[in-house]
Amino acid sequence: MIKESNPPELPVGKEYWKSLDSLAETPGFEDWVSREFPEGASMLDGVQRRSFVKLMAASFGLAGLGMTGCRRPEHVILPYGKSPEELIPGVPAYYATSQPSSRGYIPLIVESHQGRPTKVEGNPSYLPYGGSTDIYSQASVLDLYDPDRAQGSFSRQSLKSGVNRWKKVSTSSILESLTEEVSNGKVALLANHSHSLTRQSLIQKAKAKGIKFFEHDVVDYCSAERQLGKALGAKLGMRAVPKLGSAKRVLSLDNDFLGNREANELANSKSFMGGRKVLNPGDAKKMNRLYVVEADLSRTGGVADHRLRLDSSAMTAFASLVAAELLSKTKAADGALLTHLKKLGAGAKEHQAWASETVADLLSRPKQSVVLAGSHLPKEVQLLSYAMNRALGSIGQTIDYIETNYTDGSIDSLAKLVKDGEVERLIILGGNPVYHTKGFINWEELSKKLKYVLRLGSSIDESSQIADHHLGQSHYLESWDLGLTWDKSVVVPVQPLLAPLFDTISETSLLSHLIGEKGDDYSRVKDLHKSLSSGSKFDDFLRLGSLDYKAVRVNDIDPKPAIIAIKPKQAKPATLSADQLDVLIIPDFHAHDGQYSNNGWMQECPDPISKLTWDNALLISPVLAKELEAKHPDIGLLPQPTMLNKSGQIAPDVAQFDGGKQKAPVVIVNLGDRKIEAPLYVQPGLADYTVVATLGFGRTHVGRVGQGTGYDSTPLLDGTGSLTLKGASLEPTGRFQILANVQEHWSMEGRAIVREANADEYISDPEFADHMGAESHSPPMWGKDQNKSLEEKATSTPRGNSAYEHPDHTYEKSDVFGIHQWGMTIDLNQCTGCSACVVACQSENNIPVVGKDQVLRGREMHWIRLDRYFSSTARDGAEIPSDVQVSFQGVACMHCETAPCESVCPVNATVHDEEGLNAMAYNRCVGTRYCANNCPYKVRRFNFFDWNKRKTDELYQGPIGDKNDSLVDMGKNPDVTVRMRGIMEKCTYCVQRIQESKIRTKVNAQRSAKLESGEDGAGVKLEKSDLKSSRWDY
Amino acid sequence: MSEVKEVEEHEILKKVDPAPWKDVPLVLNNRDYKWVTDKICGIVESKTPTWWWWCFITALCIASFTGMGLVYLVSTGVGVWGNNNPVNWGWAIVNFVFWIGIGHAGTLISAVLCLLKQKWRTSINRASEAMTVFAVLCAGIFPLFHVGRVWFAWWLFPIPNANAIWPQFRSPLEWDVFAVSTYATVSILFWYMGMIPDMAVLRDRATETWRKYFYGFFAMGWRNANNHWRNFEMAYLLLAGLSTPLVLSVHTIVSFDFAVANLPGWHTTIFPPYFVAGAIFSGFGMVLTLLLPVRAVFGLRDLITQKHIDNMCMITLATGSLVGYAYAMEFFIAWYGANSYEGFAFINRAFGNYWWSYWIMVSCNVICPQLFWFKKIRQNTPLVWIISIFVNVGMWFERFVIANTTLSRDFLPSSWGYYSPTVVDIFTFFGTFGFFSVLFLLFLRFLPLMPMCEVKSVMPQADPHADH
Repeated sequence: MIKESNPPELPVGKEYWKSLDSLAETPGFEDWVSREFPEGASMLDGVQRRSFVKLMAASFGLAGLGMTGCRRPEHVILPYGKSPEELIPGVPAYYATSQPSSRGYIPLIVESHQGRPTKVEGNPSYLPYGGSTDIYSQASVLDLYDPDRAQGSFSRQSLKSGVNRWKKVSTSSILESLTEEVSNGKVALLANHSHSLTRQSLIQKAKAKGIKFFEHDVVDYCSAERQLGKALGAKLGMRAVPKLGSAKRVLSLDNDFLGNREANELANSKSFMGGRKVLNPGDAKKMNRLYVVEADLSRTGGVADHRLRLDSSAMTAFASLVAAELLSKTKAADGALLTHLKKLGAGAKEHQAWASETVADLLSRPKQSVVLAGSHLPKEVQLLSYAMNRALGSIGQTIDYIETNYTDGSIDSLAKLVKDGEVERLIILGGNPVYHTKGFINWEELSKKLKYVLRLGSSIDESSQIADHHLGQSHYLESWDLGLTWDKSVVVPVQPLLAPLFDTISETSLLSHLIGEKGDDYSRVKDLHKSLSSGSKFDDFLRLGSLDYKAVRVNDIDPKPAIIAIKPKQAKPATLSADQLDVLIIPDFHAHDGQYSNNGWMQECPDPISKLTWDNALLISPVLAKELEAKHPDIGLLPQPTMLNKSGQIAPDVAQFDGGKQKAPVVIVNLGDRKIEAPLYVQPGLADYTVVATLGFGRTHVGRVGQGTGYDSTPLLDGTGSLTLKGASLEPTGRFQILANVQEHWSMEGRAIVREANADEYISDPEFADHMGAESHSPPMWGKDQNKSLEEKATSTPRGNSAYEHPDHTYEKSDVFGIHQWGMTIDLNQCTGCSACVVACQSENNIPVVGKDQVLRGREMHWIRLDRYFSSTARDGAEIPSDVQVSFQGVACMHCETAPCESVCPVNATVHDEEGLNAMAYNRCVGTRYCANNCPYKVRRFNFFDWNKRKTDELYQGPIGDKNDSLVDMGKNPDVTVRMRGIMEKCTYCVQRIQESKIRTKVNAQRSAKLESGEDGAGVKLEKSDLKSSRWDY
Repeated sequence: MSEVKEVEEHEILKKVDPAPWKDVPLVLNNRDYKWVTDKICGIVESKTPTWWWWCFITALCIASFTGMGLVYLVSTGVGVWGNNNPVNWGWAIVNFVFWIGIGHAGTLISAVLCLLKQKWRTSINRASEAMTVFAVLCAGIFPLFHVGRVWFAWWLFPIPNANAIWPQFRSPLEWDVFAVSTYATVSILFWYMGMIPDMAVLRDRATETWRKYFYGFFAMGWRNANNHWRNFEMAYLLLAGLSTPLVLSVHTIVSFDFAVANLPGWHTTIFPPYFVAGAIFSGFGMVLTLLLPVRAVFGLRDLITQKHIDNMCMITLATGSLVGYAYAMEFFIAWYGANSYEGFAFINRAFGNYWWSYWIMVSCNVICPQLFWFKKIRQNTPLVWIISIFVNVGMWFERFVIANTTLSRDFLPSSWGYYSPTVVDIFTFFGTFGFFSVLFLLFLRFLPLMPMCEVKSVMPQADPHADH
């Protein structure tokens, strides 16, 4: 109900006044009223705009006065007082030299900044390597600046506690005492194998003086050539040098010719992978094919087209099986030989089908196929592979057998001579024989018999412990030498880039002192060069870094009698079970035979297959893992399958990850009376009953980097020189070891990450990669430019339709926007996973080593990393597959056009430059790490600590912790900023090298313009034709 | 006047006596103005209780963990935390979002409820605003100190400098700088301005000289004059209007830190509303956690009544359900969107390496608040308090789930990792509760914890027509 409101009341009754003033209605009161009940305006006349600005200006001025005192301290550097000749400050010099190694001398070009070698490159004038180097050469420059290397020469003082103390003495004083000792006679030299011509000539002279000479290598690349030579009755070694450039079908019998288990990795990779360069469907038809039979999963096995897992004790039988098949098909064998071969191959019969198909394929390409046998395999396999290559007609085509020399003196004979008192004074040159042979030589006993032991080594290690004196060995970048490459086709110089940093001595100097030869190393090398060359200049030789040498091919020898001589017992595979395991011992990826165990770059570079850093593990197969788990339920080897594993959402892990840290159970490996302890790691792709151990770790006398890393497998070695051992069993200890694995997950989970197709698929659809993955069926972001070619889109369409100005890439605008647009392709068809790029990048870009603890926390710093995925055709839920294919994928910053990192950086520290590079302004970075989160490739790396400044074991002590040794700083590349803590870093596409090449190209163009026209070439502009336009080679 | 025709009343209306709608009183027991003034001022004016000292010293000790953690962090490097690659943001950002979310209830209560003329807000808004300000202070610590070079953090501000480099305005972190600093400024202004009349009351009642000066200074010469009230109310209204969009904007922008990134599980448009709902949810959770003990300790049952608790419980229920809906919708869209990365991100959230955190989150945020449907539970104050703690825990885990599950397993399986906090992470975060408590205890001790004037305005006495 609506009731009408009351009518407004009229003011009736008494009138109230508010105050006396109100009553009076004075002006003062009215003013007060207007202020008390205003609508506001009259209140706001107090502060004028002018006075406000005045006040603010004064306060800003005061703030300025206060703040100007806050400046960071400036560091003053000093320029050269007098500039050395031929040296332009800031411009590096390059020298041709080579790295001596047991794999032959590796020709190098070394970059030197003001006398400090910083970076190693391959010497392109040695064609088989084509200017490439392996990972060890890349890392070798760090050894020069290793604070733990022997910084001089030392005399040993034994303490009662059994610990040795080393007193620094001058090298010359040791050499004086050496002369005295040598004069007493009964001297022997023990060294590892060398390809040095200088040493060869000196040793000959030493032998003439009655000094005995012995060689020992635990990873003996020359073993195969000796075995083959002996088996065939040749007096010399027969070195198999594959020429894979012309090979179309390759069968590898446990031969890791693309990895560190064989010597000629670089030439093999270059030539073999060259047969896999596919730019068009035509190339795909011509691709080579690789068959690998192996016990472990090597990098060679990783790129194999067909791979057979075979326990290492079955290799001889399998080789016989293949040889029987091959020799019968080629009619290269008579009945007796075939029967014998079949008998030998009986133990591998279950692989008959595989062998037949392989042989058929090898025979389909006569003279273009080759059989390679692993250098660690027994002489029977070497012999059979020789016979097969002979039958295939590949000798001289796809493989050469060249003559080599070898010394017969083994370490066993040395030990015997010492025991008999025939040798009383021992000089150990390099290597680390005590560490490698302690499993079968009692050095403690021997050292009591020895009157004098001198050791030449780059660091004080296990072998130094029996020596009276340790002579610090000069690094190869501090020495003169002359040596041969593995294929003996070229003589290369070793020339010093700097005088020895410490009071050290080279092997050549020591040997020449030993035989009492006068003169310095330089003149010795020069004289040797003179005797080898037909009149060419020594200076030219040093500049080019190579001199042709003629390797002698071995004449054809009929292998039949030698094969007939093989006893069936030698080919019989062991009966294998979880209690009767084969052990395969291989050189470690990180440490090789131990010589790189104090090299931080090598320790931190993940093993390409296992992805472990800082440790080695005992690799076992998934089948053996399951049996072990069944036998020892508490072993804790594999994680319980999760719900996601069972439902097939994600693949199961191959190890327990406890908070992201791999927890590996430690087992005892029992091999007769020899035993070691090692952490287990399940490696898909391994032969079921072969366990793989690696050398070079668990060293007792090593620098701070290698201290406490890995386990030592040398106690298993039995002195026969064989690296394949039989009859091992594993016994859990109940303990666990934490391993730093950089890749926890091995499966691609069906994501289109590495996009693979076989040759047929590629031929039918060359653009297959574009038709994979989510983006292939999601709307393009190009809008109207959708149908333009990629080149056009890249150069004309604004980035992601962004409102920002797009660089004008036309030639006319190149002054403003840059003539180049950089990109980098990595041909995954060519990648062998060698990881040399990882260390090369580390060396070039001053990337710090962070240590095992930080790798465990997921903070490794590599700008380029190598992702390794396993895939298998059939995978069953939570089962770990036994047969896997391996895909390697190098991942560095992609320098995305519409880079997700750039748009999220709040301070503009990462921006696109005019040449398409995703640049990182370190000194602008505040470290929000948003860019790294938003990077889909996870290639950005954050400096969680002052890696470069602080010692890796004292990172958590902050400013109280010790600073790094300044020796390491000498190896830093001055062209690249050394980053401090708290900032982000990532691949720059080596912008410093890009700039340098641009400047060089421009300077060259100006010079030639000046030469042509006689005018000043300052105004010259680069030609458009300088740019390549291939889709593949940018 | 026109004649109004009497309409005959309907039959039924004669029979029933419609009870007049009567609001539940907001102040119980017929208290008068003086009681309110004495009660609130009495808390400040009485002798410092012993329990306060114990709490304060404990809180101070806990707060020192944050201090020590930060000193260690800045002197040594971000590495002392557990962050890694791929999880570049660990607890720091989780804590930041957690604290900033808590701050939301204060503004919502003071601004939005003010504009909506929700009278029940008066007795809780001061404490909530204080909570907001302190929570924002706690929140600010983390984004500031999580950067690698904290001494250059000022580069995020658009200060003209010699390098002529400006911040990057496309970055959500840059938006954060403005959003959070604006929010902090407005919250502090709002809080302080609302306190001026009460400060004047305290000044006028003060007997000690320091109090006279202290409150006198902050009362800014308040004379209770008509024009003061007039300006006060206008300014209050303006600030309420200004803060209302901030309630939405701050957490929207905080959610952009994730939503603008291109990672599966982050790059979703649902984030802004979902984050705002979550923030209000966590804010009310925290208000309950704080005010229920305060109510008990200071005997404020007449001022913070069951009606207040009911209302807060119901808002918690509503926003908790909203958040639950968002969780479900995320899963639906992940499936419906048919992007395999997105699909995996969500399956991984619930069943992957951090499954436990997901289920803690769901049980605390979605299941727990459903108990508030029952009046019995809403009336059981200890239980309400326990549930409010669960809400706080749940909301911390929500941010943990979002930040960590996505980062630890994104596009490339080769880079998948796992994040665990270090002791420094844990202590630094734990310390912020001490820091928060220190500030809140000081607030309780020295500032009027309820706006007396506003409370009085919703009492029957304030309404001249209350009786008819």
